[in-house]
Amino acid sequence: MTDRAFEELQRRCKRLNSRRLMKWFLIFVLLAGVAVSTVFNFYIDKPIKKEVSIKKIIKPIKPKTVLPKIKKNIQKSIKKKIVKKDRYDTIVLKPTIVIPEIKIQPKVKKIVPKQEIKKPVIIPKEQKPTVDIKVISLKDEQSLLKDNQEHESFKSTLSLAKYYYEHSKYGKSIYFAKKANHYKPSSFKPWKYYAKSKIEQNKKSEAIEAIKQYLSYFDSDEAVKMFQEIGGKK
Amino acid sequence: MRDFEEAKRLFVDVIDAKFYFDSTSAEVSRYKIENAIKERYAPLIFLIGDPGVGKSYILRLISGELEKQKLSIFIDHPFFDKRDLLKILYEAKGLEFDKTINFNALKEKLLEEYRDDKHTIFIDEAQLLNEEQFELIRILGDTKIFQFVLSMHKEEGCEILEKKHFKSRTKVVIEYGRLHHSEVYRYIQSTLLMRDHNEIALMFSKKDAMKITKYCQGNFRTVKKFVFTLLSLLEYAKKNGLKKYSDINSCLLQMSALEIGAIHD
Repeated sequence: MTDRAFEELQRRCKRLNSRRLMKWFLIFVLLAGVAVSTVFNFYIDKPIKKEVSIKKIIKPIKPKTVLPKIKKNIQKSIKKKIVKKDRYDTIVLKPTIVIPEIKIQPKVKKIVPKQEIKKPVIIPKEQKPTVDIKVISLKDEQSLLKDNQEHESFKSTLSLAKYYYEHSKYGKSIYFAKKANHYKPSSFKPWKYYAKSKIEQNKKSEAIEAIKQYLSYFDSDEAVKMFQEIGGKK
Repeated sequence: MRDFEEAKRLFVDVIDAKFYFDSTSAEVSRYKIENAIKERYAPLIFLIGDPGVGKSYILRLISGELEKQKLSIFIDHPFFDKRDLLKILYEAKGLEFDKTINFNALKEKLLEEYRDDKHTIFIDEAQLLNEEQFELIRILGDTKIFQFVLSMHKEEGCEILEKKHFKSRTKVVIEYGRLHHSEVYRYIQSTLLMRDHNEIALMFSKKDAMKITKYCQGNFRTVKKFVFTLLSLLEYAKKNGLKKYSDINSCLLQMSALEIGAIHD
Protein backbone atom coordinates (compact mmCIF):
# COMPACT_ATOMS: atom_id res chain seq x y z
CA MET A 1 0.00 0.00 0.00
CA THR A 2 1.55 3.26 -1.12
CA ASP A 3 1.00 6.71 0.42
CA ARG A 4 -0.74 7.90 -2.69
CA ALA A 5 -3.07 4.91 -2.85
CA PHE A 6 -3.97 5.33 0.82
CA GLU A 7 -4.65 9.05 0.44
CA GLU A 8 -6.74 8.40 -2.64
CA LEU A 9 -8.80 5.88 -0.70
CA GLN A 10 -9.22 8.34 2.17
CA ARG A 11 -10.44 10.99 -0.25
CA ARG A 12 -12.90 8.62 -1.91
CA CYS A 13 -14.16 7.48 1.47
CA LYS A 14 -14.75 11.10 2.57
CA ARG A 15 -16.61 11.84 -0.63
CA LEU A 16 -18.77 8.76 -0.17
CA ASN A 17 -19.56 9.74 3.43
CA SER A 18 -20.46 13.29 2.49
CA ARG A 19 -22.83 12.00 -0.17
CA ARG A 20 -24.37 9.63 2.33
CA LEU A 21 -24.80 12.45 4.84
CA MET A 22 -26.41 14.62 2.20
CA LYS A 23 -28.82 11.80 1.35
CA TRP A 24 -29.82 11.34 4.99
CA PHE A 25 -30.17 15.08 5.43
CA LEU A 26 -32.53 15.30 2.47
CA ILE A 27 -34.56 12.38 3.78
CA PHE A 28 -34.73 14.08 7.19
CA VAL A 29 -35.83 17.39 5.67
CA LEU A 30 -38.47 15.62 3.62
CA LEU A 31 -39.81 13.73 6.62
CA ALA A 32 -39.75 16.86 8.78
CA GLY A 33 -41.70 18.70 6.10
CA VAL A 34 -44.30 15.98 5.99
CA ALA A 35 -44.52 15.93 9.79
CA VAL A 36 -44.87 19.71 10.08
CA SER A 37 -47.57 19.86 7.41
CA THR A 38 -49.45 17.00 9.08
CA VAL A 39 -49.30 18.67 12.51
CA PHE A 40 -50.26 22.03 11.00
CA ASN A 41 -53.27 20.59 9.20
CA PHE A 42 -54.35 18.63 12.23
CA TYR A 43 -54.12 21.42 14.81
CA ILE A 44 -55.29 24.26 12.62
CA ASP A 45 -58.37 22.39 11.50
CA LYS A 46 -59.24 21.17 14.95
CA PRO A 47 -60.77 24.35 16.52
CA ILE A 48 -62.75 24.99 13.36
CA LYS A 49 -64.25 21.55 13.57
CA LYS A 50 -65.94 22.59 16.81
CA GLU A 51 -68.16 25.01 14.94
CA VAL A 52 -70.29 22.17 13.78
CA SER A 53 -73.55 23.98 14.14
CA ILE A 54 -72.94 26.20 11.12
CA LYS A 55 -71.66 23.31 9.08
CA LYS A 56 -74.54 21.11 10.00
CA ILE A 57 -77.00 23.69 8.81
CA ILE A 58 -75.24 24.33 5.55
CA LYS A 59 -73.86 20.93 4.67
CA PRO A 60 -77.05 18.98 3.93
CA ILE A 61 -78.27 21.74 1.62
CA LYS A 62 -74.93 21.95 -0.16
CA PRO A 63 -75.52 25.38 -1.61
CA LYS A 64 -71.94 25.72 -2.78
CA THR A 65 -72.13 22.75 -5.01
CA VAL A 66 -75.08 24.21 -6.80
CA LEU A 67 -73.81 27.61 -7.64
CA PRO A 68 -70.65 27.77 -9.68
CA LYS A 69 -67.89 30.26 -9.09
CA ILE A 70 -68.32 33.81 -10.27
CA LYS A 71 -65.93 35.64 -12.48
CA LYS A 72 -62.55 36.43 -11.09
CA ASN A 73 -62.72 40.19 -11.74
CA ILE A 74 -65.61 40.50 -9.32
CA GLN A 75 -63.81 38.50 -6.71
CA LYS A 76 -60.81 40.78 -6.99
CA SER A 77 -62.83 43.93 -6.44
CA ILE A 78 -64.02 42.75 -3.04
CA LYS A 79 -61.62 41.85 -0.26
CA LYS A 80 -62.70 38.82 1.61
CA LYS A 81 -61.57 37.55 4.92
CA ILE A 82 -61.55 33.81 4.99
CA VAL A 83 -62.60 32.68 8.39
CA LYS A 84 -63.10 29.00 7.99
CA LYS A 85 -62.27 26.25 5.54
CA ASP A 86 -63.59 22.81 6.31
CA ARG A 87 -62.65 19.49 4.81
CA TYR A 88 -65.47 19.54 2.33
CA ASP A 89 -64.11 22.66 0.65
CA THR A 90 -67.12 24.57 1.82
CA ILE A 91 -65.78 28.05 2.30
CA VAL A 92 -67.79 30.02 4.75
CA LEU A 93 -67.07 33.65 4.35
CA LYS A 94 -67.50 36.20 6.99
CA PRO A 95 -67.30 39.03 4.56
CA THR A 96 -65.73 42.30 5.34
CA ILE A 97 -66.74 43.91 2.14
CA VAL A 98 -64.92 47.02 1.25
CA ILE A 99 -66.66 49.27 -1.14
CA PRO A 100 -64.87 49.04 -4.44
CA GLU A 101 -62.75 51.98 -5.36
CA ILE A 102 -64.24 52.14 -8.81
CA LYS A 103 -67.21 54.32 -8.59
CA ILE A 104 -69.96 52.97 -10.72
CA GLN A 105 -72.50 55.51 -11.66
CA PRO A 106 -75.94 54.07 -11.33
CA LYS A 107 -77.95 54.18 -14.45
CA VAL A 108 -81.25 54.48 -12.70
CA LYS A 109 -82.10 57.87 -11.35
CA LYS A 110 -83.02 58.26 -7.75
CA ILE A 111 -86.72 58.09 -7.52
CA VAL A 112 -87.11 58.08 -3.80
CA PRO A 113 -84.88 60.03 -1.43
CA LYS A 114 -82.65 58.00 0.88
CA GLN A 115 -84.35 58.90 4.07
CA GLU A 116 -87.69 57.87 2.70
CA ILE A 117 -86.36 54.46 1.66
CA LYS A 118 -84.89 53.63 5.00
CA LYS A 119 -88.20 53.75 6.76
CA PRO A 120 -89.81 50.62 5.27
CA VAL A 121 -86.59 48.65 5.70
CA ILE A 122 -86.66 48.94 9.48
CA ILE A 123 -88.70 46.02 10.65
CA PRO A 124 -90.17 45.87 14.12
CA LYS A 125 -88.89 43.00 16.30
CA GLU A 126 -92.22 41.31 16.59
CA GLN A 127 -92.86 41.36 12.89
CA LYS A 128 -91.63 38.49 10.79
CA PRO A 129 -88.86 39.72 8.50
CA THR A 130 -89.91 39.88 4.92
CA VAL A 131 -87.90 41.04 1.98
CA ASP A 132 -89.32 44.06 0.30
CA ILE A 133 -87.32 43.86 -2.85
CA LYS A 134 -89.27 46.52 -4.62
CA VAL A 135 -88.25 49.22 -2.21
CA ILE A 136 -84.66 48.15 -1.79
CA SER A 137 -84.12 47.86 -5.50
CA LEU A 138 -84.60 51.56 -5.77
CA LYS A 139 -81.48 52.27 -3.76
CA ASP A 140 -78.43 53.30 -5.63
CA GLU A 141 -75.53 50.92 -5.83
CA GLN A 142 -73.31 52.61 -3.31
CA SER A 143 -75.89 52.84 -0.59
CA LEU A 144 -76.80 49.20 -1.19
CA LEU A 145 -73.19 48.17 -0.95
CA LYS A 146 -72.69 50.27 2.18
CA ASP A 147 -75.72 48.76 3.73
CA ASN A 148 -74.49 45.34 2.82
CA GLN A 149 -71.09 46.08 4.30
CA GLU A 150 -72.50 47.27 7.58
CA HIS A 151 -75.19 44.67 8.01
CA GLU A 152 -74.71 41.85 5.62
CA SER A 153 -77.76 39.70 5.46
CA PHE A 154 -79.93 37.75 3.12
CA LYS A 155 -81.93 40.85 2.43
CA SER A 156 -78.99 43.12 1.59
CA THR A 157 -77.21 40.62 -0.63
CA LEU A 158 -80.42 39.74 -2.45
CA SER A 159 -81.07 43.41 -3.01
CA LEU A 160 -77.69 43.74 -4.60
CA ALA A 161 -78.32 40.66 -6.75
CA LYS A 162 -81.56 42.18 -7.90
CA TYR A 163 -80.03 45.62 -8.44
CA TYR A 164 -77.25 44.28 -10.59
CA TYR A 165 -79.61 42.07 -12.54
CA GLU A 166 -81.80 45.03 -13.31
CA HIS A 167 -78.76 47.02 -14.39
CA SER A 168 -77.57 44.22 -16.66
CA LYS A 169 -74.52 43.47 -14.54
CA TYR A 170 -75.10 39.75 -14.58
CA GLY A 171 -71.74 38.66 -13.23
CA LYS A 172 -72.20 40.72 -10.07
CA SER A 173 -75.79 39.63 -9.83
CA ILE A 174 -74.69 35.99 -9.85
CA TYR A 175 -72.13 36.75 -7.16
CA PHE A 176 -74.64 38.35 -4.81
CA ALA A 177 -77.27 35.76 -5.61
CA LYS A 178 -74.77 33.17 -4.51
CA LYS A 179 -74.08 35.10 -1.30
CA ALA A 180 -77.77 35.51 -0.59
CA ASN A 181 -78.28 31.80 -1.10
CA HIS A 182 -75.68 31.29 1.54
CA TYR A 183 -77.80 33.03 4.15
CA LYS A 184 -81.06 31.42 3.23
CA PRO A 185 -80.52 28.36 1.10
CA SER A 186 -84.19 27.41 1.07
CA SER A 187 -85.27 30.64 -0.62
CA PHE A 188 -85.76 30.48 -4.36
CA LYS A 189 -85.17 34.19 -4.93
CA PRO A 190 -81.35 34.06 -5.15
CA TRP A 191 -81.69 31.07 -7.43
CA LYS A 192 -84.08 33.01 -9.59
CA TYR A 193 -81.63 35.88 -10.07
CA TYR A 194 -78.85 33.47 -10.62
CA ALA A 195 -80.83 31.62 -13.31
CA LYS A 196 -82.05 34.81 -14.93
CA SER A 197 -78.54 36.24 -15.07
CA LYS A 198 -77.30 33.02 -16.58
CA ILE A 199 -79.97 33.18 -19.23
CA GLU A 200 -78.94 36.74 -20.01
CA GLN A 201 -75.37 35.53 -20.33
CA ASN A 202 -76.58 32.98 -22.90
CA LYS A 203 -75.94 30.13 -20.53
CA LYS A 204 -79.41 28.70 -20.49
CA SER A 205 -78.25 25.17 -19.81
CA GLU A 206 -76.55 26.32 -16.60
CA ALA A 207 -79.71 28.13 -15.55
CA ILE A 208 -81.81 25.02 -16.16
CA GLU A 209 -79.29 22.93 -14.26
CA ALA A 210 -79.37 25.34 -11.30
CA ILE A 211 -83.15 25.27 -11.02
CA LYS A 212 -83.11 21.54 -11.42
CA GLN A 213 -80.66 21.35 -8.54
CA TYR A 214 -82.84 23.58 -6.41
CA LEU A 215 -85.89 21.43 -7.12
CA SER A 216 -83.96 18.38 -6.08
CA TYR A 217 -83.67 19.96 -2.60
CA PHE A 218 -86.88 21.94 -2.22
CA ASP A 219 -90.40 22.09 -3.58
CA SER A 220 -91.40 25.44 -4.96
CA ASP A 221 -94.17 26.28 -7.39
CA GLU A 222 -92.31 29.34 -8.52
CA ALA A 223 -89.25 27.25 -9.28
CA VAL A 224 -91.33 24.71 -11.20
CA LYS A 225 -92.99 27.46 -13.14
CA MET A 226 -89.70 29.08 -14.04
CA PHE A 227 -88.23 25.74 -14.92
CA GLN A 228 -91.07 25.12 -17.35
CA GLU A 229 -90.85 28.60 -18.71
CA ILE A 230 -87.22 28.42 -19.60
CA GLY A 231 -87.79 25.10 -21.26
CA GLY A 232 -86.42 22.62 -18.79
CA LYS A 233 -87.53 19.03 -19.02
CA LYS A 234 -88.29 16.96 -15.97
CA MET B 1 1.95 -8.14 18.63
CA ARG B 2 -0.13 -7.37 15.57
CA ASP B 3 1.66 -8.73 12.55
CA PHE B 4 -0.65 -7.63 9.78
CA GLU B 5 1.85 -8.53 7.06
CA GLU B 6 1.87 -12.18 8.03
CA ALA B 7 -1.84 -12.25 8.80
CA LYS B 8 -2.86 -10.91 5.43
CA ARG B 9 -1.01 -13.76 3.68
CA LEU B 10 -3.57 -16.13 5.15
CA PHE B 11 -6.21 -14.50 2.99
CA VAL B 12 -4.41 -14.77 -0.34
CA ASP B 13 -6.75 -16.43 -2.84
CA VAL B 14 -5.14 -19.85 -3.19
CA ILE B 15 -6.70 -23.24 -2.67
CA ASP B 16 -5.20 -24.73 0.45
CA ALA B 17 -6.37 -28.33 0.72
CA LYS B 18 -5.18 -28.46 4.32
CA PHE B 19 -7.61 -25.82 5.41
CA TYR B 20 -11.25 -26.65 4.84
CA PHE B 21 -13.85 -24.16 5.97
CA ASP B 22 -17.04 -26.01 6.77
CA SER B 23 -19.65 -23.48 5.77
CA THR B 24 -23.24 -24.69 5.53
CA SER B 25 -23.16 -24.51 1.73
CA ALA B 26 -19.87 -26.38 1.56
CA GLU B 27 -21.10 -29.10 3.89
CA VAL B 28 -24.41 -29.56 2.10
CA SER B 29 -22.76 -29.66 -1.32
CA ARG B 30 -20.11 -32.06 -0.10
CA TYR B 31 -22.66 -34.42 1.38
CA LYS B 32 -24.80 -34.40 -1.76
CA ILE B 33 -21.88 -34.97 -4.13
CA GLU B 34 -20.42 -37.78 -2.02
CA ASN B 35 -23.81 -39.40 -1.75
CA ALA B 36 -24.42 -39.15 -5.52
CA ILE B 37 -21.00 -40.66 -6.25
CA LYS B 38 -21.53 -43.46 -3.76
CA GLU B 39 -25.01 -44.38 -4.96
CA ARG B 40 -24.18 -43.84 -8.65
CA TYR B 41 -27.80 -43.14 -9.53
CA ALA B 42 -26.86 -40.40 -11.94
CA PRO B 43 -23.99 -40.32 -14.41
CA LEU B 44 -23.87 -36.54 -14.40
CA ILE B 45 -23.53 -34.35 -11.32
CA PHE B 46 -23.62 -30.60 -11.74
CA LEU B 47 -22.30 -28.22 -9.12
CA ILE B 48 -23.42 -24.70 -9.88
CA GLY B 49 -22.76 -21.45 -8.06
CA ASP B 50 -21.49 -17.91 -8.41
CA PRO B 51 -17.81 -17.45 -9.23
CA GLY B 52 -15.68 -17.51 -6.11
CA VAL B 53 -18.08 -19.22 -3.73
CA GLY B 54 -15.80 -22.26 -3.31
CA LYS B 55 -16.92 -24.77 -5.93
CA SER B 56 -13.39 -25.57 -7.15
CA TYR B 57 -12.21 -26.09 -3.59
CA ILE B 58 -14.97 -28.52 -2.69
CA LEU B 59 -14.47 -30.41 -5.96
CA ARG B 60 -10.75 -30.71 -5.34
CA LEU B 61 -11.37 -31.82 -1.78
CA ILE B 62 -13.80 -34.60 -2.78
CA SER B 63 -11.57 -35.68 -5.64
CA GLY B 64 -8.61 -35.93 -3.27
CA GLU B 65 -10.57 -38.03 -0.78
CA LEU B 66 -11.95 -40.28 -3.52
CA GLU B 67 -8.49 -40.94 -4.98
CA LYS B 68 -7.72 -43.08 -1.96
CA GLN B 69 -10.54 -45.48 -2.82
CA LYS B 70 -10.63 -45.59 -6.62
CA LEU B 71 -9.53 -43.82 -9.78
CA SER B 72 -10.58 -40.21 -9.64
CA ILE B 73 -9.53 -37.75 -12.26
CA PHE B 74 -9.59 -34.01 -11.65
CA ILE B 75 -9.48 -31.75 -14.71
CA ASP B 76 -9.02 -28.18 -13.55
CA HIS B 77 -8.87 -26.59 -16.98
CA PRO B 78 -11.18 -27.10 -19.93
CA PHE B 79 -9.89 -29.26 -22.77
CA PHE B 80 -9.89 -27.78 -26.23
CA ASP B 81 -10.72 -30.84 -28.26
CA LYS B 82 -12.79 -33.92 -27.49
CA ARG B 83 -9.71 -36.07 -28.19
CA ASP B 84 -8.01 -34.24 -25.30
CA LEU B 85 -10.46 -35.78 -22.85
CA LEU B 86 -9.71 -39.25 -24.19
CA LYS B 87 -5.99 -38.51 -23.92
CA ILE B 88 -6.36 -37.49 -20.27
CA LEU B 89 -8.33 -40.67 -19.54
CA TYR B 90 -5.76 -42.80 -21.34
CA GLU B 91 -2.90 -41.22 -19.42
CA ALA B 92 -4.75 -41.52 -16.10
CA LYS B 93 -4.95 -45.27 -16.61
CA GLY B 94 -1.28 -45.40 -17.66
CA LEU B 95 -2.09 -46.26 -21.26
CA GLU B 96 -0.37 -44.93 -24.32
CA PHE B 97 -2.44 -42.53 -26.39
CA ASP B 98 -2.00 -43.22 -30.08
CA LYS B 99 -2.86 -40.11 -32.09
CA THR B 100 -3.00 -42.05 -35.36
CA ILE B 101 -6.00 -44.13 -34.36
CA ASN B 102 -9.39 -42.61 -35.19
CA PHE B 103 -11.65 -41.21 -32.49
CA ASN B 104 -14.21 -44.02 -32.39
CA ALA B 105 -11.56 -46.71 -32.15
CA LEU B 106 -9.89 -44.76 -29.32
CA LYS B 107 -13.20 -44.47 -27.51
CA GLU B 108 -13.97 -48.18 -27.85
CA LYS B 109 -10.57 -49.10 -26.57
CA LEU B 110 -10.92 -46.72 -23.64
CA LEU B 111 -14.28 -48.16 -22.65
CA GLU B 112 -12.78 -51.62 -22.80
CA GLU B 113 -9.98 -50.59 -20.46
CA TYR B 114 -12.23 -48.86 -17.96
CA ARG B 115 -15.08 -51.39 -18.03
CA ASP B 116 -13.98 -53.32 -14.94
CA ASP B 117 -14.27 -50.48 -12.51
CA LYS B 118 -16.34 -47.38 -11.85
CA HIS B 119 -14.61 -44.04 -12.21
CA THR B 120 -15.38 -40.44 -11.34
CA ILE B 121 -14.14 -37.55 -13.41
CA PHE B 122 -14.24 -34.04 -11.99
CA ILE B 123 -14.25 -31.17 -14.46
CA ASP B 124 -13.86 -27.62 -13.14
CA GLU B 125 -15.02 -24.56 -15.08
CA ALA B 126 -17.20 -26.79 -17.25
CA GLN B 127 -19.15 -23.80 -18.56
CA LEU B 128 -16.24 -23.28 -20.97
CA LEU B 129 -16.84 -26.62 -22.74
CA ASN B 130 -18.46 -26.55 -26.15
CA GLU B 131 -21.46 -28.50 -27.46
CA GLU B 132 -19.34 -31.28 -28.95
CA GLN B 133 -17.45 -31.80 -25.72
CA PHE B 134 -20.65 -31.88 -23.72
CA GLU B 135 -22.01 -34.45 -26.14
CA LEU B 136 -18.96 -36.67 -25.56
CA ILE B 137 -19.39 -36.33 -21.78
CA ARG B 138 -23.02 -37.31 -22.15
CA ILE B 139 -22.14 -40.38 -24.28
CA LEU B 140 -19.45 -41.50 -21.84
CA GLY B 141 -21.83 -40.93 -18.95
CA ASP B 142 -24.48 -43.09 -20.61
CA THR B 143 -22.09 -46.10 -20.62
CA LYS B 144 -22.36 -46.11 -16.77
CA ILE B 145 -18.61 -46.69 -16.65
CA PHE B 146 -17.84 -43.02 -16.06
CA GLN B 147 -19.43 -40.63 -13.73
CA PHE B 148 -18.84 -36.90 -14.25
CA VAL B 149 -18.94 -34.13 -11.71
CA LEU B 150 -19.07 -30.79 -13.49
CA SER B 151 -18.60 -27.49 -11.77
CA MET B 152 -20.04 -24.48 -13.56
CA HIS B 153 -20.84 -20.84 -13.00
CA LYS B 154 -24.47 -20.44 -12.06
CA GLU B 155 -25.58 -18.25 -14.93
CA GLU B 156 -23.98 -20.26 -17.73
CA GLY B 157 -24.67 -23.54 -15.94
CA CYS B 158 -28.40 -22.89 -15.84
CA GLU B 159 -28.39 -22.17 -19.58
CA ILE B 160 -26.50 -25.42 -20.34
CA LEU B 161 -28.86 -27.44 -18.16
CA GLU B 162 -31.81 -26.04 -20.06
CA LYS B 163 -30.55 -27.65 -23.27
CA LYS B 164 -32.57 -30.63 -24.38
CA HIS B 165 -29.81 -33.27 -24.21
CA PHE B 166 -29.35 -32.48 -20.51
CA LYS B 167 -32.89 -31.57 -19.62
CA SER B 168 -34.23 -35.06 -20.28
CA ARG B 169 -31.33 -36.87 -18.61
CA THR B 170 -30.99 -38.18 -15.11
CA LYS B 171 -28.72 -35.79 -13.34
CA VAL B 172 -27.99 -34.26 -9.98
CA VAL B 173 -27.83 -30.51 -9.73
CA ILE B 174 -26.34 -29.01 -6.60
CA GLU B 175 -26.31 -25.33 -5.99
CA TYR B 176 -23.52 -23.86 -3.94
CA GLY B 177 -24.81 -20.97 -1.89
CA ARG B 178 -23.27 -17.89 -0.35
CA LEU B 179 -21.82 -17.32 3.09
CA HIS B 180 -23.86 -16.03 6.01
CA HIS B 181 -22.34 -13.25 8.10
CA SER B 182 -21.94 -15.60 11.04
CA GLU B 183 -19.92 -17.90 8.76
CA VAL B 184 -17.78 -14.99 7.59
CA TYR B 185 -17.09 -14.12 11.21
CA ARG B 186 -16.21 -17.72 12.03
CA TYR B 187 -14.00 -17.98 8.95
CA ILE B 188 -11.98 -14.85 9.81
CA GLN B 189 -11.67 -15.85 13.44
CA SER B 190 -10.66 -19.44 12.77
CA THR B 191 -8.17 -18.49 10.05
CA LEU B 192 -6.44 -15.95 12.27
CA LEU B 193 -6.59 -17.97 15.49
CA MET B 194 -5.22 -21.05 13.75
CA ARG B 195 -2.01 -19.14 13.04
CA ASP B 196 -1.87 -17.46 16.45
CA HIS B 197 -2.96 -14.01 15.31
CA ASN B 198 -5.15 -13.74 18.36
CA GLU B 199 -4.87 -10.00 18.75
CA ILE B 200 -5.85 -9.37 15.14
CA ALA B 201 -8.71 -11.86 15.43
CA LEU B 202 -10.05 -9.93 18.40
CA MET B 203 -10.13 -6.76 16.31
CA PHE B 204 -12.98 -8.21 14.20
CA SER B 205 -16.39 -7.91 15.75
CA LYS B 206 -19.60 -9.57 14.59
CA LYS B 207 -20.77 -6.20 13.35
CA ASP B 208 -17.66 -5.89 11.20
CA ALA B 209 -18.30 -9.37 9.81
CA MET B 210 -21.83 -8.31 8.94
CA LYS B 211 -20.52 -5.29 7.06
CA ILE B 212 -17.92 -7.38 5.28
CA THR B 213 -20.60 -9.89 4.24
CA LYS B 214 -22.75 -7.06 2.99
CA TYR B 215 -19.96 -5.57 0.93
CA CYS B 216 -18.87 -8.98 -0.41
CA GLN B 217 -22.41 -10.34 -0.83
CA GLY B 218 -21.36 -13.54 0.89
CA ASN B 219 -18.85 -14.47 -1.78
CA PHE B 220 -16.02 -16.50 -0.29
CA ARG B 221 -13.34 -15.27 -2.66
CA THR B 222 -14.38 -11.64 -2.24
CA VAL B 223 -14.34 -12.03 1.53
CA LYS B 224 -10.74 -13.24 1.35
CA LYS B 225 -9.84 -10.36 -0.94
CA PHE B 226 -11.59 -7.89 1.36
CA VAL B 227 -9.85 -9.09 4.52
CA PHE B 228 -6.52 -9.07 2.69
CA THR B 229 -7.04 -5.42 1.68
CA LEU B 230 -8.25 -4.47 5.14
CA LEU B 231 -5.17 -5.97 6.75
CA SER B 232 -2.98 -4.16 4.20
CA LEU B 233 -4.58 -0.86 5.20
CA LEU B 234 -4.12 -1.64 8.89
CA GLU B 235 -0.51 -2.51 8.19
CA TYR B 236 0.02 0.82 6.42
CA ALA B 237 -1.67 2.73 9.24
CA LYS B 238 0.52 0.97 11.79
CA LYS B 239 3.72 1.71 9.87
CA ASN B 240 2.82 5.37 9.45
CA GLY B 241 1.47 5.84 12.96
CA LEU B 242 -2.06 6.79 11.86
CA LYS B 243 -3.99 6.44 15.09
CA LYS B 244 -7.33 7.00 13.40
CA TYR B 245 -6.84 3.78 11.49
CA SER B 246 -5.20 1.73 14.21
CA ASP B 247 -8.37 -0.29 14.70
CA ILE B 248 -11.10 -1.55 12.40
CA ASN B 249 -13.71 1.13 11.85
CA SER B 250 -16.40 1.87 9.30
CA CYS B 251 -14.08 4.15 7.38
CA LEU B 252 -11.46 1.43 6.97
CA LEU B 253 -14.13 -1.04 5.92
CA GLN B 254 -15.40 1.44 3.37
CA MET B 255 -11.91 2.06 2.08
CA SER B 256 -11.37 -1.68 1.65
CA ALA B 257 -14.67 -2.01 -0.17
CA LEU B 258 -13.72 0.85 -2.46
CA GLU B 259 -10.31 -0.68 -3.11
CA ILE B 260 -11.69 -4.07 -4.16
CA GLY B 261 -14.51 -2.47 -6.15
CA ALA B 262 -17.33 -3.76 -3.96
CA ILE B 263 -18.72 -0.22 -3.78
CA HIS B 264 -18.24 2.81 -5.95
CA ASP B 265 -18.09 6.48 -5.07
